[in-house]
Amino acid sequence: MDEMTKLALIGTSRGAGGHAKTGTPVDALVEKAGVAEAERALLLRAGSAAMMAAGAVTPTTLDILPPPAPPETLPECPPAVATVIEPLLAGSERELQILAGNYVQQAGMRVSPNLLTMVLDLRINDVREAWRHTLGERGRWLATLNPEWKWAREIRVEIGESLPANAKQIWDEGHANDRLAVLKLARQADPAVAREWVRETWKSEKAENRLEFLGTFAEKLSADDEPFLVEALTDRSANVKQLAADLLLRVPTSALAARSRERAADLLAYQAGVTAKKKAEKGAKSAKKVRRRSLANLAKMPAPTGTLTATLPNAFDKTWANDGITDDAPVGLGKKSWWLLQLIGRVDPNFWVTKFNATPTEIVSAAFVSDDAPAVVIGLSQAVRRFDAKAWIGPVWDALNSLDDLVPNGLYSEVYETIETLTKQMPPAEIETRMMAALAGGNDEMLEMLDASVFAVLPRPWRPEFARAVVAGIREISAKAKDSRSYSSYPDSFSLPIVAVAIPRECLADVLAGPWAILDGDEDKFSWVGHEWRREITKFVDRIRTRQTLLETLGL
Amino acid sequence: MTLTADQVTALAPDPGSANNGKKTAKPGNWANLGRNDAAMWGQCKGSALYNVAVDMSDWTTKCSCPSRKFPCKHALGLLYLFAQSATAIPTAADPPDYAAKWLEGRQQKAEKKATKAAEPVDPKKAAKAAEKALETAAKRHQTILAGLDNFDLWMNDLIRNGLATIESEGPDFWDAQAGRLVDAQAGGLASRLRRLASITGSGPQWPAQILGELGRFAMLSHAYRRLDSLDEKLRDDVRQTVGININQAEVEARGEIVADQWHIVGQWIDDDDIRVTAQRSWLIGETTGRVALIVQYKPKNIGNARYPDIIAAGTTVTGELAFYPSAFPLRAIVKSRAATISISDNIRGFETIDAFLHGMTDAITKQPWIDRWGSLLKSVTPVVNADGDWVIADRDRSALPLLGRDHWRILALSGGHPVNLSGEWDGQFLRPLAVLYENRFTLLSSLV
Repeated sequence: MDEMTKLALIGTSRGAGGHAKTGTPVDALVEKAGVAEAERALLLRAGSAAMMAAGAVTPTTLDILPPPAPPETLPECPPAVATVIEPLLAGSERELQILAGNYVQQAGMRVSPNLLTMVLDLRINDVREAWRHTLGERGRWLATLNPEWKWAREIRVEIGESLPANAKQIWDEGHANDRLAVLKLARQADPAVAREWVRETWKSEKAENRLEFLGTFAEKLSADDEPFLVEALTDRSANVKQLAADLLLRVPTSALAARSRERAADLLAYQAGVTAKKKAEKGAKSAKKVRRRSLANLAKMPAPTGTLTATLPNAFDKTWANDGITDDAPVGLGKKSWWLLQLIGRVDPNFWVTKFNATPTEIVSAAFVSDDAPAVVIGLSQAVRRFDAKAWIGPVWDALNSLDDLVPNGLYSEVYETIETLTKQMPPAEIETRMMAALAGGNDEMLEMLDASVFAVLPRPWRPEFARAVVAGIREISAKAKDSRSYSSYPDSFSLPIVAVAIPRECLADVLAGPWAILDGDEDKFSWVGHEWRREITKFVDRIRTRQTLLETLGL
Repeated sequence: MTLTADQVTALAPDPGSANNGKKTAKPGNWANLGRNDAAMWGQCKGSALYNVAVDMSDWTTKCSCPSRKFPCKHALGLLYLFAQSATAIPTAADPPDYAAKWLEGRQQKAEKKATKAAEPVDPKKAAKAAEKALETAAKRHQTILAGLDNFDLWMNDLIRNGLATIESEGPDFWDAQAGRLVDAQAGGLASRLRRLASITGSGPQWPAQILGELGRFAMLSHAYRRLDSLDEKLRDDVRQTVGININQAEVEARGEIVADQWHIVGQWIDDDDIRVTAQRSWLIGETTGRVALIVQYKPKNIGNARYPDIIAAGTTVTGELAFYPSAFPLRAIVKSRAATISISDNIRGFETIDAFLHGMTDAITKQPWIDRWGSLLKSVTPVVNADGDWVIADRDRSALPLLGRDHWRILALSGGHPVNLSGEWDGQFLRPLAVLYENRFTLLSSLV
């Protein structure tokens, strides 16, 4: 700090006396001005010095200029596309962002430089992956300069259907998602090799990775995997432990599997044929049930053709606890029923098929009307999840959804989760058939069919037939909404965005052509439900239009 | 003539209108679109059918809707549509009646104004007006002198007690004295004083900076008391810096008029003042190479206020600027416009940072209270180091620091290659305003 500033900081009343000078011609000028007070003189000197300094700035010199971005290999997307993309990137409509990114990647283009920072600033993983290959050389170059854009620097590999030659290298050094993909392929090719890979790095992997890698063991599971699975039972992570136990159960020759079969074998008994009295009783019971959840309307429980009886275990065996069976029942379920549920849940459902010589549908429909229906059905559903028993998914899904009020309070979230998992595992064609049958019904409960959780799991793009049925259903429901005052006909703001990105290309024109009765007419005369529908359908049609524009401008 | 969406957004009165305008910019909403060299028009289907017209020489808009915002969302929609794709609006020879009438009306108004200005003045009226003006000026002069006396005493006290005593003072400290200056009709000095609030305690250099600024104020008050012995032009500068404003008519009458192709290379909105927002636009003349600054104000407390003139960044206006009388004419207003086109890459600018800084040195030598200098720097490269410090470097690798720490967008547009960048330099940092590259003009700050 120079003398003058120091003096000004302390104050001339405290200064060492004497006038601080600048040591430049300014001093002489100020003296000539003949200013009496020391303070004023100092100010004038400081002012002149500042003015001179402002006119005498010298820039710094850089040693070198850093290298520019490498030349681009992909063509830039046309301005018309940029106009559509910019508001999408700035907004938060995730599904549409993902779709747009995929379109641009499909068209083999990169985003314009003006939009690069918006793409790099994306936060959600799904969306990032959809836009990763639109960054171009410049985007990746930018990412190397800013620590916040680490995600864009990662090198992702294209992994196809067969094991690549450098698979081990990808496993050793690649991005987590790529490692998983390559592991799955390795497991297909040679389970023993895949097991060794996992064993090698097991201790140093993060818990979520351990869970995913262990999950690959479900493919070509065999007795050879038993030793490693037993080791995994002692894992730090509860989820990994649980998965290891489940996988062990699925190895038929494992001690655990044998024990479980033994414990459950005598708990259920089945007889073909139903007594007439029982039939009538059960029928009456069914009619009283109130259908609360929307999916329940898709589930169709066929009439039982056999009788299932369950025997509740009398006491809690101490050895059960070691295998993860708990004593305390959740709210709404009796202790013994809870034990029954868990024991059934640990046995491969196909065990019953062999034992009873009956089909999954027969067994489940019988279980549904049995005295201990909740425990047996939920127990069976746990088993279906654990053992990935494909033939059982449909019947158990229907049964779980139809249980409704009968689901014990304490198990509500578990049942809901199981339904979600099973929905993902169910062959899409089966979901579609159920949904289309319900949509064709034309009843007021049609609205309940538009369930976001179901829509979300169906693979995209949807089959045209299914898509057309859904769009027709939406059209019909929205048309009725103008005058509706019923809360239950409120539109689901989660499902419509999914429909907008999931319907196949050939259905877009139909949506844009209309007619959409809800969009016509004087809004002031609508009910509040009508208002909501108009807003939702406007957004819906807008999204479809955006899709159409992107496809056209990208030349796809 | 092309327009970018960014430029349209810059014309919007607020972000809400800009968004509504974008929503209206769908071909399905419009009928009977057309344009010729002078204007653009169309009918918009809003809650009724609205007639919209745009005068393309200065972007003034007209719409039959009841909105009091200018431009309204319908006009903005038409402009956005044009920005999206010029072909969306077919060319036509003649505008429809409603547009033609309006354009004609504007033409007549402009002609009337010109003839009125050229009219001979009634000598008696003129004499009386002049006398009144002198009286007011004399009164004001006394008020200012008294205000400056107070101010000087206040500054002396500060130096006597030491600047360390004010390190922890908030903006109220400065506002109080600024208020007194405003009362003394020295508003220009008051605004400059208020800005010191953000420098206090802001870094290791703050005492030297504050001292420098206070010193300049002392120079100003010193000069004001010696107005008569100053050069005529410098006299204008001292008066204007203290805060004696002159109106448009006087600027056009007394100031230098320069005709050229004026490139509007950069623009930003200074939002600091509580009562007004200031739009600062930097221009450079293609033939004369002259640098000009246009400052417009808009009051904050009035809902639909707008800037008096439409200064669209990224365009080149062929016309006349009237400079405020000064020893180094810098601030200007638009006197007349003939045509407007989009800016292109090859326009004039400063080829090196040295040349740019020399421009400011030249300015300060003639008018020492000039504190900001802006223009277009040609072929400069943005560079960021590992600490997150940004500079702009020219082909000789001379570098100026950039204001702020988030210039990734500039780097994205440049890709490490030289680009043309407009900026405002305050002696320490360059505030980047716009990037011009491959004939694309991108305004960096968010406007409105």
